[in-house]
Amino acid sequence: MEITKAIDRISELPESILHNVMSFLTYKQVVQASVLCKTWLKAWLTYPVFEFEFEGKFYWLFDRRQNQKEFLETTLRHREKLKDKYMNKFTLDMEFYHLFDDPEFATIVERWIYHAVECNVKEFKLENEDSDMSWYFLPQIIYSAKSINMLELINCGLGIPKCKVELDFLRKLYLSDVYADNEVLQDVIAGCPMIEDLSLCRCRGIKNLELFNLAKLRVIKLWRNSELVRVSIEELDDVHSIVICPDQDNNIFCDIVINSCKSLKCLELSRTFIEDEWLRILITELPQLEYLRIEDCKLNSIRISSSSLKTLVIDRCKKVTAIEIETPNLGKITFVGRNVRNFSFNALALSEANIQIDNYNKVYDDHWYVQYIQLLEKFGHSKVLNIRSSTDQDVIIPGAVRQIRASWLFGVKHVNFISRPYMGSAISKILDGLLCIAPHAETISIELDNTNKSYFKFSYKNKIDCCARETATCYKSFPVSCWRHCIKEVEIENTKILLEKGFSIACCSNEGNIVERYVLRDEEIMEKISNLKGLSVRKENLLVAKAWLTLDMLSNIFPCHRTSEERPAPADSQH
Amino acid sequence: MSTPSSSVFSYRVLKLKSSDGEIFEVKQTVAVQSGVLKQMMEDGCTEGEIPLNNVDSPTLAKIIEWCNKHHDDDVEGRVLSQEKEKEKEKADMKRWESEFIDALNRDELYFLLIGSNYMNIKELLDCAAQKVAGMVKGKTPEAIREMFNIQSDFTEEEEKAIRKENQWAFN
Repeated sequence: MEITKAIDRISELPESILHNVMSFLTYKQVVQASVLCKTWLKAWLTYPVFEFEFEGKFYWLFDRRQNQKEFLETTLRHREKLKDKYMNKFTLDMEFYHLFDDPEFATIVERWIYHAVECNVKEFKLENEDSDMSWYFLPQIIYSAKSINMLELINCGLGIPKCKVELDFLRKLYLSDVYADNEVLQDVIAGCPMIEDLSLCRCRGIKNLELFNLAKLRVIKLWRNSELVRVSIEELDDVHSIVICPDQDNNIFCDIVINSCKSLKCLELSRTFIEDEWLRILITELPQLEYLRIEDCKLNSIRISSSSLKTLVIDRCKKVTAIEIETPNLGKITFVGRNVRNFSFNALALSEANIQIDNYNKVYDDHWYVQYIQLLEKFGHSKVLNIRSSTDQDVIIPGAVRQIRASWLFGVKHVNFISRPYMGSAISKILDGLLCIAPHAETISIELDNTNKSYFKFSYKNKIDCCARETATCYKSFPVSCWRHCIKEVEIENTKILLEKGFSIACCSNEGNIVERYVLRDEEIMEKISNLKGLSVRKENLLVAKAWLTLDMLSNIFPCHRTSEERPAPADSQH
Repeated sequence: MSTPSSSVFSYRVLKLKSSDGEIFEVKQTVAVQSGVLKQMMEDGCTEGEIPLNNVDSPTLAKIIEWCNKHHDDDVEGRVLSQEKEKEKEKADMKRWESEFIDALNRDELYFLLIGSNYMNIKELLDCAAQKVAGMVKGKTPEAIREMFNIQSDFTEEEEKAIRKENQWAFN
């Protein structure tokens, strides 16, 4: 930038532009700028934003407390003198316990709240950083703050309104860790005719919540309100999204009524005691429902029939023994939980399935694998199959199982496998298992922890070619040739971490059914691959090595152990 | 635009006259980004030259460059089918914006702030204000004063008092 003349242009800017500049700074920096010169001091005092945020360090020190108090008091005194009073945003985030043993401090805070309301504040946020002190109850004036359109209260209390609640322009009400009697909350909500967004998290005192006659209400979120035993949401035509997650830890049964919410698009029910039939009927009454998530609900069976549903999540409903899904337009399903034998699934439009089957007993016998394959097959027409697993053992399908129960997931083109934690199985085994599950996958990615990712891209011989050369004796019961006999080329991409650990590629030679294993380790992989003809190695950065190789090439160039043993020999690469 | 002007006059050109008398021709569809010009079009008083007394010609040229760039990407209604493509367009625009703003010297930035505020072009004003904020961010009051040649008009005692009252922010 050029050397400027000694003219102070910035302080000549109109106050509204200085305010605009301030809106991109932290409030603390705005306050600091007040010492620059009188223009900036005035611009700060007229800035329609007040954001006082608690400092995490040394808050108990007397000096700090005095500083906070003094700042709040003098700033307020200056602002009260202003002629044009307006405020867009008021945030007070501090330790309110100061107020209980210092009445002077309490008065200052109260005066600030009055001031904010008097200035027709639009966004009002109050956050108490204490966790175990008595509740700070807001002054009554808050109930008649007509200008507020967003009210966010964290860890404080709402007392009984002594006058009618008139939050005429309130659109967003977010209460977290707030104490309010049932009647108080009902009164407050009834006093917000324009409310669009309601969120109650971990609130106390709220037992029975009835939401009706709120024409604009679109989003309802009720999350872990420990005393809530009944929720009734009725005839709210505009409601778009409902999220309900009662506090299950208290083992309280929360009765949920959802009636005539015809526009509902998104419904999430977590940890609720709902009944099978209730859910089934509810879904049929929601003609626009697109997203449904059922998490950890004590259901015995799940029956969903919906032509509008596009995304479905069933997450760890441990008691479920039967699932029946009739959703012709479903594009995406996520299923997490134990294997459900009685699973009927009709979703022709499915394009993505995310599956995690939990094996609580940790018994991996043939029976378990057969059932695992059977369940996966329900999603066999999905183009993308994402398998998550808490152990990589899930997908290492034993040979015996392959003989008795071949997988039919021929529609699956892309498989992504994520195992957390990684239990240490060889990548070759996992890859082999995944190719057994999805025999003609075009790509497979394997992610073994956050940094370990390998990606394989396969191209296949055409079918006739494959059949003509078929001399294999492996897995005769397979309806089509196994991947070992029809893969033409494989492209591999790995992250560095994987290379360091060394990885092995297990594959079949074209002619036989004996497993040949190529073990490439560390730097050697780069070296050896680089020596191959017709092979391109990209070295844009050291993190990713990309190799393109044919199996024929590999078997020609690397003489290797032919072994029927399943484990990779540690020093294979040395010969 | 609610008036019939959108269909009838959409190819019409406005003549903007800068404070130093230069005339700039701008398509109505581009000029609509200025809140002031938009209002004038809606009121139907855009005949002849429109004097912009607060904006000199170099600044007006810059403002029009900005509006033309943003017009091309938004108004022509090009359909971007892919989400990724949209994101890329957005990122490209962000880069263009920051290059545009970074290329200005401090005086130019000042006049651009005044000009975009006067013509009520919110996006440009925000972008320029953000630039100034970026220059201020993380600097001590002394460093800011030096950078912008701000002369303190407080007495030593006054400044001391302000710092004391606002001790919270200086910790």
